[in-house]
This record gives sequence, structure tokens and C-alpha cells, in this order.
Amino acid sequence: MDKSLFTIGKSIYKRQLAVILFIISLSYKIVMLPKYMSIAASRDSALVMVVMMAIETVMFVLVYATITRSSILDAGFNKWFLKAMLALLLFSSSIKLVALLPETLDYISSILFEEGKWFFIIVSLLPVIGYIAYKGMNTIARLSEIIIWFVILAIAFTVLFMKVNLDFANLFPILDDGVEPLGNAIDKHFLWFGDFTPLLIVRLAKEDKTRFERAYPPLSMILVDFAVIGFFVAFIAIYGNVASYIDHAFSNIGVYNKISDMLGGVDFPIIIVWLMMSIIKLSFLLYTVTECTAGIIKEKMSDKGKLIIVTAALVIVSLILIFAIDNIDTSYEFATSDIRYFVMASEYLTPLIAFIATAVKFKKRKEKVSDNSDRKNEIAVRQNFEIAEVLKEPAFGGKNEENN
Amino acid sequence: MDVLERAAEVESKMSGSEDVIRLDFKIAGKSAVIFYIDAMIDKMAFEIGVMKPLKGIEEISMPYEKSFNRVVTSSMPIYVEEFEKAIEKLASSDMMLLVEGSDDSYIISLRSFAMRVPNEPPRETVLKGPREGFVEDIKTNMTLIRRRLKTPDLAFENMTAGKYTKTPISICYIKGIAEEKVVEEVRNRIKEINTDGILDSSYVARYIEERKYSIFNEVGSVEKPDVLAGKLLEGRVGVLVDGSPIVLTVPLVFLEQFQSAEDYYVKSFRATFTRLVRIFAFFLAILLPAGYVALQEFQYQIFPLKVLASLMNTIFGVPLPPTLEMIFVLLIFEILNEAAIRMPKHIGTSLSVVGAIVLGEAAVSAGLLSTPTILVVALSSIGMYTVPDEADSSSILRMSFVIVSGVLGLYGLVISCVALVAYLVSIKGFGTSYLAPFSPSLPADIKDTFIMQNELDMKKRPYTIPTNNRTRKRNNG
Repeated sequence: MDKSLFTIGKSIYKRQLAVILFIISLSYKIVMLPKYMSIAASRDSALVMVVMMAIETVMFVLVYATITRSSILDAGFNKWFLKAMLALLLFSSSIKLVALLPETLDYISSILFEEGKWFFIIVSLLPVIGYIAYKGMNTIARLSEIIIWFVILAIAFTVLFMKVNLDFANLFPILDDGVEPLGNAIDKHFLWFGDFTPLLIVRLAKEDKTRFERAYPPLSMILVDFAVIGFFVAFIAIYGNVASYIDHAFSNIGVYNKISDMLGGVDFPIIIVWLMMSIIKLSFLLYTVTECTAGIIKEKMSDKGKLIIVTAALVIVSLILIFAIDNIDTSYEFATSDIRYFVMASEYLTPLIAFIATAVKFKKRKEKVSDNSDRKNEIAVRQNFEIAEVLKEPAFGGKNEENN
Repeated sequence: MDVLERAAEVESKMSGSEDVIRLDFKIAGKSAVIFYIDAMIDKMAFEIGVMKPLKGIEEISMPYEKSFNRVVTSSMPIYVEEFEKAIEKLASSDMMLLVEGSDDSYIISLRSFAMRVPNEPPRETVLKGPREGFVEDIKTNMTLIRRRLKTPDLAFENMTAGKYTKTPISICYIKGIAEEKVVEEVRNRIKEINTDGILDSSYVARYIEERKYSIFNEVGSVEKPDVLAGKLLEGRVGVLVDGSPIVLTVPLVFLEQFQSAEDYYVKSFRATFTRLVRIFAFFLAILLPAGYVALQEFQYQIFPLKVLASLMNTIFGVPLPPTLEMIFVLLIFEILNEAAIRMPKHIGTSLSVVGAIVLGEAAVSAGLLSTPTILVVALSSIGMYTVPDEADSSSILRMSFVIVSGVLGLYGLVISCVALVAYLVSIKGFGTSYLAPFSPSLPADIKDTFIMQNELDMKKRPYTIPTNNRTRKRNNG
């Protein structure tokens, strides 16, 4: 059987990467983070986001430059070096998975149910995340391609029916309390950033479908920057001093709409869409955990092995969420504990190391190829002369003087 | 072996079946026995074109078939076949001739049996366009295709499958357009069939599909030659099975099932509109009952205030909770549906009237069921049959979604849908992704999906389907 006819490949297109990075970067920055940032930096939280998104953009540049050369899985690094990098990724992704999942659980239990039990949500949500993660990056990419249309539609719908009271005066004065709250906000919330680091294990398709293909991910990054910063600006402009009391900012941004009596809950499309985005983000984190664990254990892990890893990871995460981090406050304490420094170090160092290592590797490879071609030329020249010597003919087809 | 002994062996091999007719006669003074199956041959042609000339032969010499072919008038020449294979041919309605002095078995083909004339298939009716549909006879179906594709590149590859049925199967494609890898894969999968019988093309579909237990079709089914010709021209491969009026096609994309033959015969704006309606109806079919249950059980705040007030009035006093009520009505619909299909046509109609109007009205009046639930199920069921190819999966999906929504509300519905899409995007059959051209996105192919561009603008074959020749329209064409 020709398996290539029935199995989807491991690499993704750049346009799919663009969609994924939009979703994974945006999803968890617009729910609880606006509230947390407002507590830490008050009206300056939009400014914090400008700084953080600038750092995110730099990280994206590093990651994108690395994976356009090669995924770290295929770069041909030294075995132990690769394992060390995978271990760093595994660590940061696992922590983020555990820290961010409660946001989704809280979102579901408080918005879609009246105090819904986390246990039932965990039991129903994690198998779906596990399934998507097990199916792999291509499934995540394709799923994102479908879901992004719903995201666009839901945002358009919300914007169309939203009646907001934007008061930009709420944003000023900037840095009224100095830069300390800014630093404090950045320091505390590292876990909500560094979203692009796991992309290092993504395999990009070498061929571009269109000539604009390469431009999609950078454009998407710019769009995310504007979307996140714009959202924070709007959030502060709408809520001002009470922003620190607003949970689930994304679904509450259009809370002032006044046509609910006619149309019903117009905020629900956005609620549903965020849930979809969070599923993709969590699946991607779990996929990273699976791939990194698989890469550390064995060079090439079978599908069955990966299924075992996904299942084990889900069981561990479920137990943590049921017995240790069983509410959103504990989750925030965990995310802002000292562990964040290790996650930060891992998330910001890995792309830098990967970028340098890949660049060095590819330079060496290039030199080797160039050396090889020089050597081949040399051999060819030498052979030509040797043959010429044997035949008593001048090299390169010239005429032998003796024969003249 | 003596001719009579061989004839006795034929009778024994054919299990002494009484529909196997044996005729003993003489050809140029030599004993001859001819076997055929009653009512499976053209008797007139047999009497005039075969028996009479054979009996009239005065001198015969080896090889006998040359002498026979000089006098016999049949569309296919008489040929020699090994004894065992000749028995199989006899069982497949050919005639078997044994002659004294020759150990050979001669095959004469004069197959003729009662057959349905090509009618408009019930599943693919059109207001505008060809009405001819495939029939159960594979040869007729091949002719119907050949009549539309008069090219030497149209290829039929004949095979048989089924230990007892020996069902003729034909792979059909256009050389130079269809991808050879796909043809080869179909060929291999059919060769691997090792079963007692193939009674319909759906049996073959199970062997061609990659995911045997999926609720979604992975193989297309076509009932009209014009539709098949269109698919072959896009690079697809067809599989014809004797005894089935449904021709299978691969590769299949999900959205293909939302297309109708008529889309290509009407103006593109109309086709676009009807396709959008079909897609909307499909989503209505699978999501409406579940959405209604989720909203009524958990997220009633989504309802506009006036709708909520009116809803409260109608559901007041209904003894069953919304989820159970919905499941109950869906089950009643499935029962009515089954009964209406199996019943004779006239009874089926009255049954539908009794079921839909009398039962529904009585149940609502008695306060056992609520009007909105019946309305939701009716809308969903009508929507389901706008895409008949997916009616089976829609039926299962809507029931499953109702159950999930009954337990987990809108959240359950959302995660079910995400899981379903994740499953669908991971399906790939014969080099084609199931949700293409949306995932992976192939913008060039969007023009024949939920929208339909003018036929004149479709210059390339779809990128979704593997093909050896992408160009469909040339500049001078």
C-alpha cells in the first residue's frame, strides 16, 4: 500500500503557521491577563503589553528564522544537545499547560455553567485536547485553518453589535506611579508570554505554495501585536479603574451591548470562539510535551508510544488539577511563583540557543557542501589531467603538440 | 475423456441445478453437448445464430473453433477455455460447448437477461440536465459512460471479486488525467478482496475505504453517467460493480457531497445560492436539536427575552426534560422514516401524514411534547435530506450531539464540534485531504466549493485531486 496516499505529512505550510501563531499568541492574553495586569500596573497595563509584545516579536523573529532553516528535531544536532533543548521545552510547556488550563476551566465553569464542577470539565475537555495533540501538528494546523474563520466571523459579529463606551482618558496619565508597577507587572506575568518557543519543534514545508507564503507569519505576528495591544487599550478605555475587577475580559468587552433583548446573548459567539482557541493552544502545548518527551526517550517513537505519553501526561495533569491546583486563585499563585523564572529562562534562552546552533550547523553544512564541490572539481581536474597524461593528450580537449 | 463423461462432470459441478439446460446434438456426425442457464441467454439468437449453423456443419477439422466461427453468428467469437474456467463462465451466463474428439471446452457468449432501463435515479433528480441514470448491468453502464467520453484515453480495467458471486468489477479512468498511483491503489485494494460475495458497490466501498469504521463516506457514489464523466474529467477514478446502479469514485472530499449535478447546468449565482442553502441546512440538521437542548437546559440566557417568554409558555407542563424529549422525538422520527422507506409507496405517504401531522398534533395537544421540539426536529430532518449522501452520518451526529449537549450544554456541543473537525481534518484518502480545499487551504479550488464560479473560469482541474494534467481549458478552446 502506498501510505503517502493516506497519511498526512508532518510538516505544515507557512500560512498554517501564521494562523497557529495568531491563535496561540492571542488566546490567553485576552482572558485573565488583562485583569492581572490591571491589578499590577493599573492603566499602564497597555504599556506593559507594548513592551512584552515587542519582546514577543523578537522571540518570533528568532524562532521563525530557526525553523525556516529546520525544525530543531531535524537540524542534526548532537544527540545530547538536542535532548537538553527538548528537556527545556518540555519543562516550560508542561508548566504552562498546568498553569493555563485552569483559566479555561474557570472560564467554562463560570461563563457556560453556574459554578460548574471542574472535575466534569476536566474529564470531558482533556480527552479532546489529548486526541488533537496525539494526531499531531498537521491536525492542529488544519484545525486552526478552519477555526480561524469562526474567529473572524465572531469578532466581526461582536464588533457589529457591540456598543462600547470607549473613554481614552482612562489611559492617562501614563506612568503616573513611575516605572515600578510596569516592572512588577512584567516580572509577575512571564508565564503568559513566550508562546512561540514551542514552535521550534515545528517542521515547515520547504516549498512555498505562493510567493507570498513567506510573508504570512510575519504579517500574522504584526496582526497579533496590534490585536493584543489594541485589546488592552480598549479594555482600559472601557473599564478604567474597575478593570482589575473584570474576569474573562474577552467575553466582557462588549458587555454594554443593548440589543440582547432582540438578538439574545450576542456575546456568545465570542465566548465559543475563545473556547475553540484555547483548545488549540492547549493541544499545541500538549503536543509539545509529547514530542519533547518522545524525543528525549527515543529518537523515533512509534504512534503507540506517543499515545502512551499523551495519556500519561493527561492523567498527571488531571490529578494536578483535581488535587493541587483546583481553582483559579491557586493557579495564579502557581503561575506567579518562583517557577516562572525557570520557565522564563527556558522560554527565552531556548530560541536563542536554537537560532545560534542552527545557524552554525547550517554554515558548517554549507562550507562542507562548498568544500565537497571544490574537492569534486579538483578531483575532476586532476582526473582530466591524469587521463590526458595517459592518452598523451592535453587536458580539456586541446590538441597534443606531439600529434601536430 | 469422453464427451458424455465430461458433460456429466459439468452437471455435477453445476450442482445438478435444474436451471442449467443441457442439449445433446451432433456436429458433422460427432456428439456434442451444449450447456446454458435458462433465461440468461438470447434464445432467438441461440436458435438461429448458433444451433442451426452448428447442426448444419458437414465437415469439421481441428481446431474446431475455426470451423464454428465460420458459421456461427454471434457478437463475440467462440473461444476455447480451460475446463474449470469454462464452468465458471457457464455459471456467469455464457454457454459451454463440448464436442466429441476434442478435450477443449468452447465458450459462446450470448448473454441476455431482463434489465431495468436507464431511469432518472431517485437520489439525484434534476430540473435541468440529463436524466439518464446507471442501471444494474455493468456493460450498459460502461456504454453510458463511453457515450459521454468518446476518447481513446477512457480506460476500463475489468476484474472479478467474490468467491461465489464472481462479480465483475471495472475500474474506470481517463489515462493522462487520473493519477496512476491512485489507479494502482484502487486496483490493489480490489485485488485484495477475498470474500464470498459482492452483491453491491457498497461492499466494494468498504474494501476501498481507509477508515473502515468511520461514519463518514470516504468513497463517493454516483448514479448518473454525466456526473461520473465530470468526476473522471477532474482526475477521479470510478469503480463500476455489476449488479449495482451506483458507481464509486475516489478520491472524495467532504464538500463534494454538497454538490449537485444541476449546479453545473444552471447559472453560477443560482448554484452558489443553493450550495450555501445546502451547507446551512446540513449545519441546521446536525446542530439545531443539540443547540436547542443546550440552550434550554443550560444557557437559556442566550435566547432573546421575548423568545424565552414564549418558549416558557409552550414548554410549561411537558413531563419530560428537554434532552429526553428531544431524544424521544428524534427516535419517533427515525421510526417513521424507516417505516416510510420500507412501506409500499402509497402506504408510506399516508404513514408520513399520520406520523407527522396526526401524531405530532395529538402529542402536543395532550401536553406530552412541546411544539418547539417538534418544529426543531422537523427542520433538522428536512435539512438532513438536502445532503442525502451525508444523511446517515447526520442522523448519528445529531443524536450524539443532543446527548452531549444534554449533559454538558453549549460547552459539550463546542468540544464535540472541535473534536469532529479535528477528526475530519486528519482524514486523507487517495492523496486528497477530506476537508480540502479549506484545510489545507487551496484558494484556487474555492471557486467550486460553497461558491460556484462560472464554468468558463475553471481553467484548471482542482488542485485537491491528484492528476497528471492540471490544465482543463486551453486558450484557443
